Amino acid sequence: MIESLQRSHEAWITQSPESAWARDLRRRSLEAFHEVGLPDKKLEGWRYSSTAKLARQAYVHDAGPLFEALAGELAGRHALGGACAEVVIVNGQLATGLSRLSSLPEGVEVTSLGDLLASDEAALVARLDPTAWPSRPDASRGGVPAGNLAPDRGFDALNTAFLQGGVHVQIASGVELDAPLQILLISVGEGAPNASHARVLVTCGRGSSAELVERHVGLGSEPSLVNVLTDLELHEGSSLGHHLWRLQGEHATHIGHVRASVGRDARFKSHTAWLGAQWVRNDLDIRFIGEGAEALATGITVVDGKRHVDNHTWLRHEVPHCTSREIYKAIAADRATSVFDGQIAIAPHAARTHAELTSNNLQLSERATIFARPQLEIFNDDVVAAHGCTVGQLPEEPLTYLRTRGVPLAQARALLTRGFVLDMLAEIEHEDLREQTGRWVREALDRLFGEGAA
Amino acid sequence: MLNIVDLRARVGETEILHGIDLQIQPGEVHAIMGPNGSGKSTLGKVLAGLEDFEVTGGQISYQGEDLLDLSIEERAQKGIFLGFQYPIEIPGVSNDYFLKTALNAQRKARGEEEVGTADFLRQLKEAMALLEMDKRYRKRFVNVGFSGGEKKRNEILQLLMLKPDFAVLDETDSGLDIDALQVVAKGVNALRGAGRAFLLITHYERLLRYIEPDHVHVLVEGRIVRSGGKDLADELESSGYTEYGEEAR
Repeated sequence: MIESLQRSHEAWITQSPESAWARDLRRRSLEAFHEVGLPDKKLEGWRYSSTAKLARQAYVHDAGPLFEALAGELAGRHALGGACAEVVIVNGQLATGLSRLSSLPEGVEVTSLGDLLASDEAALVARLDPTAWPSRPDASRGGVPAGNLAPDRGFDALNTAFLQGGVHVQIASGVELDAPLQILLISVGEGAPNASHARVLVTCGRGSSAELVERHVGLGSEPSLVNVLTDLELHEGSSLGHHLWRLQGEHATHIGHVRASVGRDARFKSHTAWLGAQWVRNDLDIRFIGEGAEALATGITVVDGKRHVDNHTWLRHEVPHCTSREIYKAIAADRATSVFDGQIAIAPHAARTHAELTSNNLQLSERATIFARPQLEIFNDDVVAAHGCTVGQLPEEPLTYLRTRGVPLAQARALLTRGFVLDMLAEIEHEDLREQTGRWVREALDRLFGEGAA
Repeated sequence: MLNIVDLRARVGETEILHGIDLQIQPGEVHAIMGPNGSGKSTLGKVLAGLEDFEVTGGQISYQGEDLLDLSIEERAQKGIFLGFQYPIEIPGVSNDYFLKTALNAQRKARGEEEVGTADFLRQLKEAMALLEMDKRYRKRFVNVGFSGGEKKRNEILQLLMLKPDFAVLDETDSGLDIDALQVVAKGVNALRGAGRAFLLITHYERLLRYIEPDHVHVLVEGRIVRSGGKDLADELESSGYTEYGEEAR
């Protein structure tokens, strides 16, 4: 994989102007990657997700022509509609022609990372540097010296080394977005396996508020790789809803890393729905850096066939008086695999922390595999922390109840399965986005049970 | 409509019903009364086809068919309804969606056209008004967080929407205050007639003041020990079940 990426990147970069600092950052990131390589099963956090097959696959990094027509058609179909602003990224690069930003209020700025990498202003270099983010505790036994890449951050380094573009969304202090902003990431490729490396940066100014949809769609009959890093900064008193939807892409491998730093009295809501792609690994890292902050993280996974979805979450309570609530639900059918690993770390001085973690899993077939592991690391006595985790089949009693009302068994199963996940939609505050999420989940369940079954 | 001959059923190794004979004609309301543990609820569950019981002998014919050959859902599709003593909660499934799904599943099985949304909502609104149910119960998840009385009312809502030919109501009166009981009775009485039959399973005579039965049966230790008219219920109210306990042995 790495050789093919390097080759095609060299060809690609000759057409993309680049500043000295960006070149240096890429070089350092690639070196750092070579130090650690792709995460493998020897790392605790990667036990259930093997990258061996991915490592053998050659990818073309050159986006080639932007597949304008196809991307345009997808962008139209996946627009949020209404007054929503849309940022469209095709194969890692901002597609200005497909984006619609005119409805954004004053005080919201969307900058192309591609342009930024070409300019001499190295303002974001610290944020782009993959060595700046620590390793999950289970991957860094013995510690990682400053400036070195943590052993489980190989994909972050690859993202930086081969970064094609993306956006930086800046919301000024006190600005409230009335309508959600969507960042649509499209991966299209024909003829050769395509890789895209994009970065989404969001900076929420003091007291600002926004709902952001990060939607991934993909088409193509070749294997594709999406390696995306989403970096969210919530400053004091700001509020951000991050809705991450992965749809389509039956040959896609999706590596995602979402990291959020949550400032004083800020509110962060993360709602993820994994309804597409063949193989997914997503890390959600939330770090509280100011007191009185809140975070809610929900996740819906629907996997069938031989698909694989691995959600790793890491909530770091590093300051007192913060609240986090996390609920993940997964449905695994056929021979699919769902992994959930949720870590909550409460630092010694993080008194008055309130942390809850729930993972409920439904196994629809005997050959489906579910791993669910909540982990609490608590170093302060003055906290409330709880976790619950269930793995099971559909309960008999409601099935029977539905049958006594004339609903055939197969349909009753579909209905209960649907209820199992849709139960969670109430956690999504934004009405339109709640309905849209419900629509995608229903569509995924229809694929599982046949249309109209539930 | 329903003909039960020498019905025997057991759960595990224990026989609960020791030979029940009962005939119900279209349009009739029968009440089965009896002390706790007499097998009343078992009879209701056996009629609905619940699988925790094994029928070890006897026959049940329903509208000319062998009922024991039919699955739970087939029985419902052929017009049998069981009102649960302890209704089940279904998280994530809204009441209206549940009702529409059930109604259409039954219609589909009978080769009828599915009910349209507007028509369904009109019927639902009427039924809920009759049962004095707030409209927010439409979107609430089925029975989740409902009080005991609300659950029973919700059973009657299903009864009104599904309009079965034969309804078994298992202790629908238990846990209801007098106002709720009157509302439930109003729902049942609204459906009486038109060839529809009911089997009311109850411990107390109270329910039968509001839903007047044509026939009353006393079930003790798995056998019907006495049958009579509605006066029998009044008699039981004053004398209790002790004398039948003797008779059954």
